[in-house]
Amino acid sequence: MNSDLSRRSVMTRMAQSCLGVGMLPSMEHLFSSQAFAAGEGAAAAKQEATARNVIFLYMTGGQSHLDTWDPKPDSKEVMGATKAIQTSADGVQISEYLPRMAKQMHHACVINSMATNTAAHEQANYFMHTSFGLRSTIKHPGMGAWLSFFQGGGNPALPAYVYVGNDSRHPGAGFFAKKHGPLMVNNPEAGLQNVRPQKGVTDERFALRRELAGALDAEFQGKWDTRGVKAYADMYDDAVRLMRSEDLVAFDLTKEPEALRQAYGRDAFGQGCLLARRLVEHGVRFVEVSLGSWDTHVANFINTPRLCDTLDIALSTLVTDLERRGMLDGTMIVVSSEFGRTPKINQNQGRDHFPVFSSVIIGGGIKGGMKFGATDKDGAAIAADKVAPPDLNATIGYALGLPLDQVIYSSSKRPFTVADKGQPLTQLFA
Amino acid sequence: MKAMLLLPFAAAAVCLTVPTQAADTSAASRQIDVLLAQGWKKHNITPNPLVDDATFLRRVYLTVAGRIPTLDEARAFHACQAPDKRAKLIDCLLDGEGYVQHFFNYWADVLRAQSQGVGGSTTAQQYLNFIRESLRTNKPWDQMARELVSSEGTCFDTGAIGYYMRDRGMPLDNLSNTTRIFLGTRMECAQCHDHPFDRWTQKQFFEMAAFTHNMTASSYRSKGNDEVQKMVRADKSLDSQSRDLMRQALNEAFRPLRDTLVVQNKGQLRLPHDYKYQDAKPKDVVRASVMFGKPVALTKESNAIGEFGRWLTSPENPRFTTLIANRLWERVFGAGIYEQVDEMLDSSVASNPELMRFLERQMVALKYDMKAYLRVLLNTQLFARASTKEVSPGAPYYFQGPVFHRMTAEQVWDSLVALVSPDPEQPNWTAREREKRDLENRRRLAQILDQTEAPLLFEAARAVADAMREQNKEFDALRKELDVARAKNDKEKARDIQRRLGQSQRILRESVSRQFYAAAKKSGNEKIQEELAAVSGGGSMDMAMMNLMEDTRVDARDMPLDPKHMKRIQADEQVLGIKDPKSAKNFENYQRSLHQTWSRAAELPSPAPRGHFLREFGQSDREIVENASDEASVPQALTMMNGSLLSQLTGAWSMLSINLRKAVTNEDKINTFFLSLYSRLPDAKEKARMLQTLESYASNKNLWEDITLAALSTQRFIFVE
Repeated sequence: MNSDLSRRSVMTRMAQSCLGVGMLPSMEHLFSSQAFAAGEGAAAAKQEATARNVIFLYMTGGQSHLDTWDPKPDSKEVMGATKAIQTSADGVQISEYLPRMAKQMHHACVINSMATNTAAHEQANYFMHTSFGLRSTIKHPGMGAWLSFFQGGGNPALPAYVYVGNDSRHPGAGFFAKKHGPLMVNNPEAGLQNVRPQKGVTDERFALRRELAGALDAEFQGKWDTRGVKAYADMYDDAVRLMRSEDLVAFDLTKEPEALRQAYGRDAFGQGCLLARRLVEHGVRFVEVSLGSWDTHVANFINTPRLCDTLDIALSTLVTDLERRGMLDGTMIVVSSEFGRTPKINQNQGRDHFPVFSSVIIGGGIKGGMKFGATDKDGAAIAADKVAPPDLNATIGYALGLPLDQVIYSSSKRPFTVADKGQPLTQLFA
Repeated sequence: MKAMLLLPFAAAAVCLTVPTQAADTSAASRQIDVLLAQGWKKHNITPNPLVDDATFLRRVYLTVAGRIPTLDEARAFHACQAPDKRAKLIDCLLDGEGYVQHFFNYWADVLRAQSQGVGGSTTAQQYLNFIRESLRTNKPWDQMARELVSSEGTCFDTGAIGYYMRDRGMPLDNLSNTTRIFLGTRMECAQCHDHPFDRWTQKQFFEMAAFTHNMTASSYRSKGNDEVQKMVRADKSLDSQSRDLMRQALNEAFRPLRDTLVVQNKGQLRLPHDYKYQDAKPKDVVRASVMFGKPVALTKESNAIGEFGRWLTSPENPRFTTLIANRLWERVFGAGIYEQVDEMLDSSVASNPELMRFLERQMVALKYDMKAYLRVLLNTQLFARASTKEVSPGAPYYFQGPVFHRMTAEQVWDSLVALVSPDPEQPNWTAREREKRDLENRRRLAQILDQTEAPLLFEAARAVADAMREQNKEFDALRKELDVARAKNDKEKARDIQRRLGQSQRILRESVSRQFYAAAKKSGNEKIQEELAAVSGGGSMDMAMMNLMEDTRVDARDMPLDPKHMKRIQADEQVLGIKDPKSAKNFENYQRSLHQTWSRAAELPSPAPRGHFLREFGQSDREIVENASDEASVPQALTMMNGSLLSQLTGAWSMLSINLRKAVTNEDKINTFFLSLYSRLPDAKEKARMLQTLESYASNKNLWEDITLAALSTQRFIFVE
């Protein structure tokens, strides 16, 4: 317990347990790579991973593509009050609401031809996160869970996958064991929950409680030496060690210079992006941060600029911060939403749900300064190179070096591949 | 409701004096032990020894009421000398609200019921209430199942429509869940192709789905709304923007009623376009046909869903009875006679086939009375035997004892509630009251909007449309200000604009309420005037409709306290030495609002929000059938050691603290503590050790806080012997 070596081995077990462990036999042994007709149509493309980490920024509620990444300056009727501006990438225009990002677009690839299959929030959100349709008989894993399943985490002391936000329906581990699911962080500034003793509980009292608990439980634990009881005994030891672990600092935003904290924006999303960077630095490989709500049925032209401000400040700082630290090549930032919004401005000066939208990829081996795919002159239909959510996820998987065609069986013995049958956009890579 | 509320106080005292009922089930209990003994003999197995009273007490409370016994309950049981005190306690617990709350958790997990399901609508809450009420009235399982799969109409008629609402847009998944939940048969593979590991074909799946696929969650329909929509379409004097605005206005008025209706359509189900087997062609129309059991013939006039429900729940259905008999067996003893309980295959073998057949016959003879059946199981000698440590998955288990296990998340939480609350089963008054009022408001709103004459609704919609036009002008102005603010990077101003936008939205909601209220007021329909008169209590008249449209707010401090309540509070004040009126008032308010935090899991938002103690300990998210977990995790340990909620257990006003205060000597205190947490008195060694600890603490005010938190973080607390 006092040597560094044993700390590591403890931390390895902790990783399995960090925030949702299985001491019961995990599901893996049920899986095999043998396929029956399953997996047909999944992409066989493989490459050396270009990205080690992913920071996935999810725009909850359906981000208006027209007022962000796909403005149509020639169509006043579609644009309403929104104007387009030039960016640091030739031929790439974005909305005036993202002026800071306009200076970073030479790092970015904008995909303007995203198309989903539903205009209902829950279904589209689920499809974007998992590449599968929402079902009530099974839950599919999010991309971070696939990464954890295939490759594990980057730091045994920390979870492999972290979600910063408030979406109570995040698919998480899906049908994988709980340990592959994200650690859910509601408030990025609060750090990890319950890792400090209650106020007034001194080290001495804490130690006394542990000792007393041991005395009260010794006979019981001796008599009932089951796997479950042992798992709990280990878990308490691990929890106490976690409380003393130096890796906890990954969650501590107060270790950042105040100026940088300000630069990210002093709101949950900005601080979430900063936390994402710290976590990635400490070896967490997949962090999702969500920003919402983009569901601007009413007063789109007042609500969208506000949301864009938050996004623009945090994202532009994240890009420059990662670049400055030499982390942008190994870290892929993805900005996406469940769907876009109607070119028609509705009766309440809002925009309604629309299955066409845009996503942005930055870093992680992607070519910068480019657009991929296009919508027509009104942003109403895909004009070239349609990309579905599974294709975007396959692109993420491709960057991480995940085996896109490897068939995995759920515990209900159903076959699945990561990103379903999505085809990676290999042409986007440098 | 009031009687329920009082039961727990009475329980300890009354428990052991109620006459044992249902003596005729004792023969069945004995027969189970006989059949088990035959199995042991055949397989050369020695049964586990019988347990002492303390182990039995804790086990039976957790199994039936879902929590550990309170100090008073434990004392009463230990003090009782009656030879049949165990049987009496079983009867008492089956009659209590604890049974309802405990089994609610299980059925809500099986039925995937969520308070925040389907847009947080009234239906979601009514679905949960349907489960609660069915258990409270001990509705026979076949009836409950039939109501779930055969109900249509509004949630004002029955919460059972939640079963189809839950899967709206997913009728095929719904059928897969139905065969799993009610027949223990997994068919989801056969949704897309013949089942690779079982005998079901894709065609059979679709033939079954043909019974249920027409069950559709519909948007709210009413004659008045249909008519006024028609008027809007037909009125040539309206431009297209006005039409859109008026439709929007009507949407706003009817919005609170969305997701409240399930109807049975009359469509044909067709095979999928990629159907690949020889027995039919792609897109062929499928005729409804059952997968086993007595065939069901549908005619044009048949109520397909009614026929389906009758077939599903018939004693002649070969799996319906087996499943529920095995399910409840598993609830009581920790393992099924068949495993997996909800995945019976042709190759599944009951570990004791004679026993399984006997239990099925019992279930039918008891007419699917779940409490009566549980009573039979609980009165067996098997239930009084020591637990078996572990059962290997896949190997047959012959039930030489129940199976040792961790408490469910809800049992852990509810046991904490029993340590804090003087009345652990008390309903969450604030939540139930809010639901009751919301339901009544929605029902009233539906009646008013349904019966107001279409021309009046038309006028209201037009007036709201005008208000929306005004609002649009305001949006334009705000946008202009925003441009300036953004140019100057004036954050303060931008926030102000956001605030005014919110205000504008509120004013519009008030306009909807005011205009539709005015319309209803003009109606010649007397019924409407009565309804309006009933709502206008409190607040200004034209805001009355707002109450019907928005969610009700209920203040916990308004909870009525009856004389029994007051008496108990006064007694506790004596113990605590509360004398001055201000402190007494504080204590009263604490008692009134206690239920908001320290209600049983079944009375809290269900499932609890992410991050709640319950979720950390594995409460199901209710996304897929039976998704609860008993796995260990680091956050659980962290919560038990450092969670802020846990320290409330040792706050001065918790039941545990009051009881410790009542105990005079150190020995009394130690006994109280052990009975409260572990349901038994300490043995000599434990007592000596505790006395030693107490002496070493001597003057420390943190003494019992430290001891309690230590005791909670033992495995002994969360595992069930």
